[in-house]
Amino acid sequence: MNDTTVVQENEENKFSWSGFIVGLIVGGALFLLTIQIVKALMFSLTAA
Amino acid sequence: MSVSRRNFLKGLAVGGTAGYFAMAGVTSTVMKDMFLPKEPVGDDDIGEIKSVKVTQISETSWFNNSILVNDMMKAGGLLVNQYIIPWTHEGVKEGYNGDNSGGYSALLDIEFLDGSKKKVLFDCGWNAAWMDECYKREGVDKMLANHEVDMLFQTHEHFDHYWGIETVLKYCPDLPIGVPKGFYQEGFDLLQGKKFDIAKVKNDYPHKGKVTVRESGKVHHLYPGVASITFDSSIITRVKGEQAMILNVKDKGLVVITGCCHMGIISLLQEVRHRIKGGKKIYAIQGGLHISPFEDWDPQYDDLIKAIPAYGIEVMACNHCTGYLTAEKMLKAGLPVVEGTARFKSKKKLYLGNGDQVVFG
Repeated sequence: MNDTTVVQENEENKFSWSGFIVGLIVGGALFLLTIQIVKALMFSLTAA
Repeated sequence: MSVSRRNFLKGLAVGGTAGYFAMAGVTSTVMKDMFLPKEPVGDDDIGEIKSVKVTQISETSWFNNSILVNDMMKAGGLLVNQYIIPWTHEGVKEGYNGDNSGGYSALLDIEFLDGSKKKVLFDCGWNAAWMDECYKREGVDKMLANHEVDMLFQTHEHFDHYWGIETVLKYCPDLPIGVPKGFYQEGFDLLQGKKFDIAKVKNDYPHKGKVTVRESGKVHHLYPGVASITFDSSIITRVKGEQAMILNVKDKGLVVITGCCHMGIISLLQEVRHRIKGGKKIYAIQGGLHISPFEDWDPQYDDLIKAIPAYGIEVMACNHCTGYLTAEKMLKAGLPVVEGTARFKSKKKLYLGNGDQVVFG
């Protein structure tokens, strides 16, 4: 009988690049949303 | 190769944070013009004048705040048409011969760069007898009779700024008058000699001169160095529209003169800044600023006082409906409010009063 060594990759600390890229897009979009809200509040016309 | 949910979320969190701050950096630098609009800069060159002297003929529009407010409330509130409010004209201890009404009016002596001069009457007050006494005190009655006054600049239709028109027309029935868009028919009827019994206002001298109605949304060039802007403000006691005058004093800057500033001081200064060349820095402001006319206070007025220094104003010749309380707070905040002399029934020296003068230039 041949012994076959099975190498199992340790998934516990593996960085997810797909998650990172999705995060980059989501994070960027969140900031754009923030700036639209800030712009609307800053430049709204209010009578003194 | 499968990705565990935990690793994906970790990547998502790191990427999200990096993406958020990266976008912050990009939009603040490379793409900033796309996201933060530039503040418009005024480009309307109105010319220049050498100087303007403002004589405060009367800034005491009424003598007792409580009585005036009571008159409006008894009639139904601040939205009631001013022409149907029975204003109190007798029995007021501190009034003018018992009458609570006074009026707001000023005389502008403008000197142009070529040495020529013009006189502009700025509003015409309320109480005909009071205004007549004030005009005689300052010699304005003779100026009107001799046609030395070139125009009446009527800022708005309010009772304390306009209902003294009879006194003006008595001396000069054909004086050219400029009014803001928004004047009601009653205002034009008064000019033509109508009487309003409830409000006790009349004009026995029908106007025979030219009336110019100034539209909102543009800068009106009145003389070289002198312009006006009209605002479509809806104001208490069923009044609409107010115009302010802007003069560009050579080597000093823009002087903004208001009647009541119902459009709001920040709105006015912003409009001047966005429309008129040189408006980035306002040299002076004169007239009523309508902040605490009844000596009441709201925390938002503190924000107004904090906002004013950004305009670089060097002279604040404010009075009338600015309110003494506002003047006190402005002085405490270090704003350059011009002191008055408290003569001719003006109560305090906190700002320019009846008979006081200020020269710009």
